[in-house]
Amino acid sequence: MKQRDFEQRHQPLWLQLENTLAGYRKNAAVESESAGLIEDLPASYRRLCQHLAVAKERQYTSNLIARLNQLVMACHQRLYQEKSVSRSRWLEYLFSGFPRALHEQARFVWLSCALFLAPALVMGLGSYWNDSLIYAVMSPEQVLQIESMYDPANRVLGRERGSDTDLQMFGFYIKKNIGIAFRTFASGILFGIGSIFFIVFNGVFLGAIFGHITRVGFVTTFYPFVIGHGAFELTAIVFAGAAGLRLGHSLVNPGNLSRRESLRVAGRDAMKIMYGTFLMLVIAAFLEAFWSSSTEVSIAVKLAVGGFFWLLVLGYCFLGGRNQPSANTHTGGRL
Amino acid sequence: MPNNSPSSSHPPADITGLDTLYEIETPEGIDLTAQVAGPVPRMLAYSVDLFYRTLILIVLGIAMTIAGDAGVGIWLLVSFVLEWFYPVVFEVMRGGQTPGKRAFSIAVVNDNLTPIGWGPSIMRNLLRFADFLPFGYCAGIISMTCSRDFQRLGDHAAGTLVIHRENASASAALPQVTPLAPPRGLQLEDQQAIVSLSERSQELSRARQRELADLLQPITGKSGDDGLNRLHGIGRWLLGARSAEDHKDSGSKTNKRVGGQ
Amino acid sequence: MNLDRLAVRARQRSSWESVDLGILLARQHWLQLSTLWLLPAAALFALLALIFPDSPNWIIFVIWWLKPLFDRLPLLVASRKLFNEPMGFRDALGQFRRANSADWFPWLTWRRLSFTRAFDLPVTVLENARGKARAARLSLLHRKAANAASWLHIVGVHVEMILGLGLAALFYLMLPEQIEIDWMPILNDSNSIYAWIANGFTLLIMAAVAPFYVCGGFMLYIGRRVDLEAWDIEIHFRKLRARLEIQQTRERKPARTSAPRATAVSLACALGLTLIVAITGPQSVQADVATPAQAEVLIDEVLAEDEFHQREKISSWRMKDFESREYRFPDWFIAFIEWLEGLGSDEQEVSDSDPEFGPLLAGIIEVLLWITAIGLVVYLLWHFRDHLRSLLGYRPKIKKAEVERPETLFGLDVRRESLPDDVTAEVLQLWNAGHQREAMGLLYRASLSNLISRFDCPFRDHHTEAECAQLVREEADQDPRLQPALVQFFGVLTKTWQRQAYAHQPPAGAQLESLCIQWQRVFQDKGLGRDGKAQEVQP
Repeated sequence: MKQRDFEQRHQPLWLQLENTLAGYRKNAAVESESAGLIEDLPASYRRLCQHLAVAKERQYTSNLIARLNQLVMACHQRLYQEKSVSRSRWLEYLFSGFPRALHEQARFVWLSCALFLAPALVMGLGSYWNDSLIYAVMSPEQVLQIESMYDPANRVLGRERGSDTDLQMFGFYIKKNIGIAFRTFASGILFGIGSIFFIVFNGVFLGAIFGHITRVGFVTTFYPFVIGHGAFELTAIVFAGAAGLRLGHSLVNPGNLSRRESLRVAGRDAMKIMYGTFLMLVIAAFLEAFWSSSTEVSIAVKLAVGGFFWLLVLGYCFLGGRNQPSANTHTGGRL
Repeated sequence: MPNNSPSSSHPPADITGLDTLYEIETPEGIDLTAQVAGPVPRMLAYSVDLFYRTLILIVLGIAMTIAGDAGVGIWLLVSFVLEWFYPVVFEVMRGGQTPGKRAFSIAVVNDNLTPIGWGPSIMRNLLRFADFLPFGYCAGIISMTCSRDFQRLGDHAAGTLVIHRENASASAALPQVTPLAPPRGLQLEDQQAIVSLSERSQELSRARQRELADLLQPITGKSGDDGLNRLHGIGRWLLGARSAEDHKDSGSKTNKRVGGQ
Repeated sequence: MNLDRLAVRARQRSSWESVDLGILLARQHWLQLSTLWLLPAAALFALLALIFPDSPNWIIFVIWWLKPLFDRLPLLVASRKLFNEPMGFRDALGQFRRANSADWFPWLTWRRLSFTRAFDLPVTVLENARGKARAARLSLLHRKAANAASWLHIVGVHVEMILGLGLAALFYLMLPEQIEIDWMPILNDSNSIYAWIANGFTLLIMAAVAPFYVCGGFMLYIGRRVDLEAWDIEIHFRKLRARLEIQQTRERKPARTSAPRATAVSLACALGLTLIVAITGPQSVQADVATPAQAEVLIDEVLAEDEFHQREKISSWRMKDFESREYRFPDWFIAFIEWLEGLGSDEQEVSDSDPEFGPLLAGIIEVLLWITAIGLVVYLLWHFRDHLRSLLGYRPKIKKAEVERPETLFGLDVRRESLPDDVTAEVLQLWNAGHQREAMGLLYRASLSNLISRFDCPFRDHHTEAECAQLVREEADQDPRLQPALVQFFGVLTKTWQRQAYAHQPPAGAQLESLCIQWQRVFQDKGLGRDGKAQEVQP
């Protein structure tokens, strides 16, 4: 067939495709209008690919080939575009996907948990028994500041704060805590060392504060304050660490894959955890700013609600996602 | 350091020579190519983004002074979002281009050259922190320079690439000669070379063009200006013109519409 | 310069792509290039250190100032590598003086701070252009590439700084925190050992970065020349010509092996001419046929017609004069704002009477956040009420009830109405009358019907007998009403039925009777009357 005939015969399809793609790019409204033109994009795309192959095989002019090539590229981009996250997928993730991801990476979650709890316990008990231990990890000014924050006599916390302060603290917690979690995760790519460092560091630091405050005796202000958001925040830090450890492990022990491939698989697994971790941290920041700090609520209520949150989070993590048949094929690492 | 870069695993510097091309084959058997973008334009694009972000924060900071503590809160929230999600939103919503990347016409894509989605984008931008270590993106710069396709750590983990987006080149003024049908047996590359000669007739000096045309004396059968005109004629034919009146090229118009994403 | 041996692919590139290619080239030969940069520089560094042992910072400054000298050697080697010409260390070092003979003075004085050094150096080193020739050449080359060249320079400067600071940061991170170091004297004292170490690292970093900078500029220069001189076209044309010549000599070979070249060329010309004539012949005929351009015009016209433009009239209610309403807040809204302000801070009102903007804004945002949070929780609870209920141990019943029940399965009528009152009696009667197939069919049919209506087994039209049995087994895990005896009975019955239906092997009489007895036990001791529809079992 001569090129001219070839072009003439298939020109309508190409033009339709071009119009469809142009419309898609502009906005969705135009797309629906032009949807009638191309009913079956995949089929048209396959035909187009065939046209390109034929044109190359028969050595038609470069101009035509360039045009077809670009059209193929545009179609490829359109067809293989990742579907936007649908509402039901998000809800599914919330309800079962996240706990399932945790179950799948149970090894790392437990490891991260141990890395966090062990130093926290050691430092907590240590600084409870020994007055000076906390100064090994914090400067005296920091210790004074923390003491004054939770001093029942110094009613900083005890006074009802204004909404503006709450909002300020919300921003502060979001930026600081989520930043810490993200860093804990990201530094896992350095063969896991970064994540381990951040988890242990957080464990030491928080353990020391817990021990010291308990020793000083500010129990009535401190525990009601932390119990609420702690349920979300502490677990989220552990999860972020687990995701980071997953990354690091993929580099240390890539198994049958190349390090590159292994890292990519790990990245996908880790992201499943990170979405949930992010949500938990937002919840934690919200609670810390607007709930934990409020003193209109009595201590008993706060403790009760905080306990409820802990049960909720733990129950969610342990029980959630068990009933659903796993979307993934590998379910080996379940809790 | 760069000396143990994976140059050995690089496809051998074959006949075609060293290049920044990235080639994949789609499931349909179509070869797609893209030019990966290296550290220099990427660093500059990042600086542009950094500038914009800082500007936003400064302006917001001034505006929020009237709101007191609440303003501080809002400012912190915004700075958090800008720090971690500014690139994500632009990359996913704007075809892989943040404003800085747009300024240097580069874009992020998945390594199968499909548009980037939320997952990989969040991944590569969360890992910015690792790339930043120990200071000022040192790890990222070294990783980019050493890896085959100029990927930083975040790109490796997310499976993404930064490529040059070709700008649709403005259709060049073609020399006004009668189109000539090309002889048989010209391969695609030869055709492209001839077309390229016609398209660049304005930029290249006449003497150099004659020199080039003389190389193809076996095809044109003439030397000097006549030979050159022959080649220009063939070039115009290849660009779709069939008679002297055919106005320039119908092809480049449609090309622009498709390629301009 | 032999373009055929070019080590990079010749094509037109944007400036940035050229720079990227330079990075690639530098990476390939990094060790050699940076060693070549380092050797003279390090030698000079050592020499100066011996002569002026008291001023390390001045020495590193001198090295830095002399960079244009050290850059030339890597450039020379890179240019050789570009054309695949080998050049060893010793050769290269021997070239140091020659490479630096040209124009060294301007490069070290008024051109030292030029932003386009990497791009301009090739003109000096490789083209040996000076004075006016150089200026003219540069003004041509700069037209498109100067911008990128300057940015390359700026990036290079920053990368050197960043790597230096990064190295320092790394050292700092490695130091245990307990060690209290007084940094000030170390930083101020220019003659301490630390200054020498720092300067040594600075030298190494300069040597590490230099190949990338030099090659980036060099490839930018090459890219510009490819552009200006159409190297890519030349390479293709040469290839094409070589191919044609091979082709023609091959064609000529049988006739005359050593044909003079002129003949070959003239023959080729003739061939080319005839081809051109042959193909241009029908051109006049083609002219009136639609070209793509004409087709496009045509299609544009078609698209402009009415079929492609649907117009719709939409009439609906909409807000009129929105702007004028904006300033009339309803009373409740004002009250709400006032309440918000009060919520914002009660102290504020005491301390200063001015209602501030901040607390108001914060109050609004806080209320919005709470509403969003509560809304989200409620929405999630509502959306997942079934999941939650099942988590808490309730079996969701609503959906099962809505499911439509099939009326026939594999051709068997499974409606309850189709069954006789006393199933087993009927079965035995049929059996004794010799209708074995009908008897088994009735028994099986009755079982299915009971499973559907009383135990909510979700059979569908497309299920097979075996799948039904499997389904019953699976359901039994979740539904306590399906007792093991029933499940086992249904399995046996299904097998017997399959043998009867498909293999035409009727069961023994005793087996059938036992099945009937079992049937009565599993389906009728549920308190079902003899009529088979009296009492529904409620869990």
